[in-house]
Amino acid sequence: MASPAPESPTSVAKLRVPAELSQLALIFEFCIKFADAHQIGEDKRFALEVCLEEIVTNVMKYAYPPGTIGPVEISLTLEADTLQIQVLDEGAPFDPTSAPEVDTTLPLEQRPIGGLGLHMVRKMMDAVHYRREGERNLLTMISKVA
Amino acid sequence: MDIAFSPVDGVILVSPTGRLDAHSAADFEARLGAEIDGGAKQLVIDGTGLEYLSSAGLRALLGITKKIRTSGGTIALCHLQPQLVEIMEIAGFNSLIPTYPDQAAAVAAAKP
Repeated sequence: MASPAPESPTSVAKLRVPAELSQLALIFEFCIKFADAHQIGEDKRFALEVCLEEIVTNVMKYAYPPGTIGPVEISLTLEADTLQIQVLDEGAPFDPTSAPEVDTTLPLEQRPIGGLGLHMVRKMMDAVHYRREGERNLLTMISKVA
Repeated sequence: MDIAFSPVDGVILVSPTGRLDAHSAADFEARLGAEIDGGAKQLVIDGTGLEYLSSAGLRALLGITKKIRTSGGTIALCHLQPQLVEIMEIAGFNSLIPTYPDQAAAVAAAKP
């Protein structure tokens, strides 16, 4: 008879804040606290902060009509060695993963200013998914932290 | 973010302290831009005090690099911590902005 799978404790942390740039420090603090509490290494914590900043600032800039500030919700779920990072907003449908890949070999004069952040997310995370869920955008990133 | 400017051997040494993120990038780009407008032609950014760098920070660095090269000047980086070097590589910025392990080499490279 097969023995039961070993227990894999899941740890979840959530943060819901107004989607504005002034909240960024609080979001980083939330990430650092979670990483420290779960012995996530410096490199992986750095990747978490960079990728989360990218997705969250996209929400801050584009999700809600100019002059209005809606919410952004961040969930961090650690199960065994897999960190799942979810970013939820209630703004207009927007799939950041649909942005075209940037060419990072172009010379300086031809480098576009945009598109870089998503390139970094794709390189630093193991997986990135977008889903429209009812009236909300749900962006999920997966990172192996062990 | 705190930014100190000091002349060293004919170049302006820029020493930022803190995080170069979406919140601080605009101020960082504006302050270095003002140095260039004020006549600075050779900039060396010493990253010893730089704790963090995101795509917003990279965009600011790209803007400053374009601006100083347009004015006929040079820019170099030094003393970046390993995670920041990795970010530069992922973004392909290591081929755009020369990066050196130590300040003396960066100053020598940036000098006219």
